[in-house]
Amino acid sequence: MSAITRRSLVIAGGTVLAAPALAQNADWPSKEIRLIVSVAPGGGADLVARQVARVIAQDTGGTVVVRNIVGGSGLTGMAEMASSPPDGYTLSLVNIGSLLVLPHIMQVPFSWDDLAFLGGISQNYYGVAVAANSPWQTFGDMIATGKTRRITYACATIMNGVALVQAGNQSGARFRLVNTQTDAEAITQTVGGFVDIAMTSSTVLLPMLQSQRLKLLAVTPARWPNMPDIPTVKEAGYNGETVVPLGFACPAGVPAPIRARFEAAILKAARDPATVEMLTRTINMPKPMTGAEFRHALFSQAPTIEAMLAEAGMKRR
Amino acid sequence: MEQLLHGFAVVMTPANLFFCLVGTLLGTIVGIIPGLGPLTTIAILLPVTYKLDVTSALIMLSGIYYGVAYGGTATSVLLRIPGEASSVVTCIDGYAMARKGRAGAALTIAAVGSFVAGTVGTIGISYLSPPLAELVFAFGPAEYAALMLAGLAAVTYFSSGSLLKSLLMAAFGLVLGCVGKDPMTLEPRLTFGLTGLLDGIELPALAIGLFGLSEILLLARRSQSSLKMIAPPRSLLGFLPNREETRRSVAPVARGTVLGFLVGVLPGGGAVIASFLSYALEKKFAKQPEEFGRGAVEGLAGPETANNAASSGSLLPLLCMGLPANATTAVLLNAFILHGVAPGPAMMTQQPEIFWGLIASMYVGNVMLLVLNLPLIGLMIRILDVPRAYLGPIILLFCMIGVYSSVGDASGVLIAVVFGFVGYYLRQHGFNLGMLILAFVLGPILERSVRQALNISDGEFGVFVASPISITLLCLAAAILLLGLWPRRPVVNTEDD
Repeated sequence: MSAITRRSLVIAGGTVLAAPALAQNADWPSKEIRLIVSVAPGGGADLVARQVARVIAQDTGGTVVVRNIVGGSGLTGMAEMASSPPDGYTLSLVNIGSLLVLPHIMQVPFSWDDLAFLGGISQNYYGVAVAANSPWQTFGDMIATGKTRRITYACATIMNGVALVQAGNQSGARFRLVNTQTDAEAITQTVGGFVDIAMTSSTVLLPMLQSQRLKLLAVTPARWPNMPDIPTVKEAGYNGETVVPLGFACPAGVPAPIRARFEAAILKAARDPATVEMLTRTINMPKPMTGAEFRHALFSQAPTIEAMLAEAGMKRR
Repeated sequence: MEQLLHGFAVVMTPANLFFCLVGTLLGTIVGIIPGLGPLTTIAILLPVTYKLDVTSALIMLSGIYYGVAYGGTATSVLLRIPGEASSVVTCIDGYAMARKGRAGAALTIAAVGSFVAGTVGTIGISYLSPPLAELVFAFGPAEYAALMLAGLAAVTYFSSGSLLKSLLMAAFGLVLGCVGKDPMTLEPRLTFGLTGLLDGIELPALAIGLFGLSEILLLARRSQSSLKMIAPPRSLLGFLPNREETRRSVAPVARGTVLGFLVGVLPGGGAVIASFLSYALEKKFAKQPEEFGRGAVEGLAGPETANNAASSGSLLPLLCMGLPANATTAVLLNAFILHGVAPGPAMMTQQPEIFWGLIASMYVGNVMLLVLNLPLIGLMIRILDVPRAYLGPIILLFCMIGVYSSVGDASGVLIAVVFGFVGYYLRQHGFNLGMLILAFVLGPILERSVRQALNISDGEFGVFVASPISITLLCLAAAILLLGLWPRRPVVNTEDD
């Protein structure tokens, strides 16, 4: 064997490794596909994932098993997916915190480049909610107060506050994050008058809004279908938006034809009437996204969140 | 009252009665199996209920939730393995009663106490909802911090034997509670770089390790004869408590019901804390506190009632305000919303048949649970006849399945195993494990509340004495601490080993 051939073999190494996977495409899937979900069963995201699992199974004629790997703040499940063989038998619901927040706080065993984004299903609606007896009637009232004193906002997930922080940066209003363990805790502290704002998703705000213990100053990223009169943060005059999309990813090395089939199945699941009905009932926004659109929706937020963490003194790396 | 009667009319259809029975039966079974909790069960069954009538679905899912509190007792009493974290305290005196041949009596008292708690709790939800729900909003971070301090001060009542050893255990529990992400900055603490520890040590893994696995290790080292388990009487009603035991459980059941219900109403309180506080309370009230740890009826009746009252209590903020008090009620809230019902005052006025139907089903469900559980007692105490050599591995298997399913991660199983050995060592040396669990549960809530309060006040410590509630609770904490330390009774070693 000549030296040249040997070298070209080495160069071709990457392709050679992918070849068996490509050869298998014809009979893929020949075994069970794992869909990793890094939240506990029963919640909204878990139910969406199960819906997607059903559509992928129908579409490919294979079996899809949903595995709830909780723990490690979602990191365990994501790391399990990222380190799986790129053979098209593992994908996961994307845990946004482990891509946008945790890498700035601790060592995370994967990066954006290790993942192939497959598409999105929906987005959460968020609300800027204050106690019903608050003197503020509009988002602008609140911002005006924020220029004279510090305004506290409670939420269980740091990403919720992006719209507020952006509005604050533009207007000079000062905000202070109060981390709570659950969304319910953020809501009780707001109704009780201990913090100024609860910045949480529509589903958890709904009961207290219906019973008029809380009122909405603004919503994000779009108007809620059940409360069409409340303007978005942007409509209120501030360029702020909290975008938390729900979508899926697999290891980057998965052969393109298999990725394409996942992508098609996810878009199909996103448009499936059963999915849309479930999302509508829980007041989530159906938002079918391709893999590229989903990645962009996440990646474009990275600088804002990094700045927020730095501002709060939480950024370590 | 009229509305409640209307609710009973809704429940008394064959379909709704059937789903109430299915829910409570499933709850009992899930409660009996160590570690396997209501959260997983409700989540698995949720999609199945889509096709059901809304009221039937919610009746069944809620039945699982409050049924679990009944089942958790059995393994604690018979095997010293907590079926649920809220039955950890029962391992102490419940198991001691079983060793004296009073297993049947212990289980009957627990079942009747649970029934009283469940029923009184439901009455509380029916008639006291609006004022009690307001209590939830009166508690901000500073008030919680004061409440947790009062709870921690109560640990001094737990101490049996050496006070130093007890405080050591409380300190150990606080340290274990610090493991995981910092509640404010998310920075990992004491995780040794392990992702599995990022969310902290899970209570089911810790409780099953310390109590369950350590018991199996102790069993393995003992000879069959040294165990001294006295089999309960075999006659038809021989498992019933005698007159003395009945008399002694009346007051603890009453106190446990009120205490548990109030603790349950507060978010973040819950059944575990309620059971521990009830134990401390009963020990303080007891005529013979030295009997605690050696099979005191009060030490079983109080906590087993309090944990049920707390699970009823935590349904109040969910039903009346749409606020989940814990992870399980959060899944229940999701189930409500998926079925197109947003719990809260709006539900009471707009969908009264669902609200009152559900309340009525809880009265019916508690009767069903009592009827289900009493005959089961005669059956379950026969577990004691199984030779321990065979029982050990089976318990081990259930513990592992339970921890895995409740934590959802293999790291939980490893944590349980590690604490099995830790628990074995600590028990051999006479340390009080109950103290450790209490500190472990209270510590993180205390830390989070203090830091939230300081975050809101911008570092101003005056926030802790800004409201009458927190001042009262702080005084209470100081009083409990002083009273607990002052008149030390003659030291008696009440460790059960």
